Amino acid sequence: MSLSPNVLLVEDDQDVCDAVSEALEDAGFHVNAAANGAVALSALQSSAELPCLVLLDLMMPVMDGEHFLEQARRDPRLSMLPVVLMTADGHATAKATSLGVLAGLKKPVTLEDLLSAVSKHCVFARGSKP
Amino acid sequence: MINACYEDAPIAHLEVDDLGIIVHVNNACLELFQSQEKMVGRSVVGLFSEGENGQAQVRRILEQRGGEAVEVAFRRRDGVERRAQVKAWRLRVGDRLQIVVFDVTKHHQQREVQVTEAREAIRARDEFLSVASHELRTPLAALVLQLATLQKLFRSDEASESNTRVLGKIDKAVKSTRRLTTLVDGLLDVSRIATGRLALQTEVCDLALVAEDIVGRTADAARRAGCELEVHVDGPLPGVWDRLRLEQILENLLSNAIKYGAGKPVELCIRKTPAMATITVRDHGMGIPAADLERIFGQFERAVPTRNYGGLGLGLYITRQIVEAHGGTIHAQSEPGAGALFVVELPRRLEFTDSASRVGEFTDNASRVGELSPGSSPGGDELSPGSSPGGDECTDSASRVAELSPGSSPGRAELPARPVAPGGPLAEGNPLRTTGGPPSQDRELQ
Repeated sequence: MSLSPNVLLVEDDQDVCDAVSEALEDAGFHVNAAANGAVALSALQSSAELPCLVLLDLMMPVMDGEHFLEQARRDPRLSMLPVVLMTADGHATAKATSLGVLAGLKKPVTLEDLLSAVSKHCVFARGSKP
Repeated sequence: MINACYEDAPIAHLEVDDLGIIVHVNNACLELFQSQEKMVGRSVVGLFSEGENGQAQVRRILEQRGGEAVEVAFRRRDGVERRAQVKAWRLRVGDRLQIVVFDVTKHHQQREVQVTEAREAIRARDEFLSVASHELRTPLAALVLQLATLQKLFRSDEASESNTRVLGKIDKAVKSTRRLTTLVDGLLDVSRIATGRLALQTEVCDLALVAEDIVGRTADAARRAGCELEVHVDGPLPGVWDRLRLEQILENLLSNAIKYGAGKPVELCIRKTPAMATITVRDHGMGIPAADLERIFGQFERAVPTRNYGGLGLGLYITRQIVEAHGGTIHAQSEPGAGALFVVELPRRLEFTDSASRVGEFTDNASRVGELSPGSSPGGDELSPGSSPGGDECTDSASRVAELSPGSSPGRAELPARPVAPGGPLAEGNPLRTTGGPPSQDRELQ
């Protein structure tokens, strides 16, 4: 699997999308955004390089986060993608465990928690990025 | 004349003998049941359906020669199943038993419709709360991040007067978003509790450390309200709890004490036994009338007019649900004008951890930290592990609340505790802060 230093943000709310993207870009990450699971899946399947981390919202129109995970895991190339959830559901950590992803961030997420989760789980960030 | 009134009265009436055999029926009774021939000389019990213990209930009022009315089913003469309220009495001892039968089917149906409507309204409310709190969180998420980014931007810039002013305003906006987040979290918690989805993420954590954290976070609000915060913590105090929910318990109790006891000291005591942790929070404010001591733990309840004090009235309700989900109890003691005392008892449940040795290690380390860094925890320097410092003070102050007369003030001098400075140095850098407990045990609140 070839990973790029990009973070893929899958989030349907434009305001949250802008806020997270800008916060991550200010911290030195590259961010690509997808408005729902279907857009993200097709972007991933047609791209040569994979992001170092997927930041995934759960409740989205067209294809929600859980469905996206199911689909991605069926694709051998995407099955091992590192994913961190971002959800307005209060039990973010429990949800992350039950879905078998790296971590869960509860919305509203603080800037510190967001940056520390991305830095921790994005392999390219380790040691070099903030 | 009276006889004619009785015969044509719109209420079904029967007269029965000591064995419950029908002796006489009026016209309304004939309309409700059967012809006179089919009723007189037979048992009154047979007029009613056996289901829902109907006949047994009628038998009971016959045996008791009266008593409370009973509600039973019967089949009307047209074959339709109806519901009746049956009441029996005797005018004088030795008289025959008089029985009246009210057809309450319509009333019963209306009541069922009302119950269904009420249930539906509650379901709709819970769903609304759940959706609303979820929807509110999304823009809040964007707001929190944008403000934090802005804060960072201005902090990194050169300090100028205008920068400092803008930063001050951003800090205030950040604080408001925190309050908003707490309110939204409260709504979500209520909807979770109502639908039985309040799950606990338990791990081994130290209540003493959690308390330090919360005291640090609350110190600013306490100072602004003119409350001196006195803390006695018998730490370390490991137990199997949901850390975030413990924080919520302490935050809710302390913020309540500060809100209703403004201008007077607030005391937090945390004591332990091998099996239990006891948290007491005490204020010296207006107190709570005895009639409200239980009601305040209900949803949207408070003991004061809503206009004078802000908030949704959910704090104590949520606190009780969290405490009970942990297998604990909470109660309040108070007298109007004499402040209030809230007592939370939480089982430590250390026996449920699957690695007892690890817990032992945890406790040992914690004791050692206390020995190595005297002064790092409030009262900790005077303690030896296992002793119960501050415990007596807690007990004293706890028992004293009942003795307080309105207007009296239990002087601070009687509570030899050190006020904790905001963000105080309580056990800073304590290695036990890492939550290296056994795997989480989730428990659903039913």
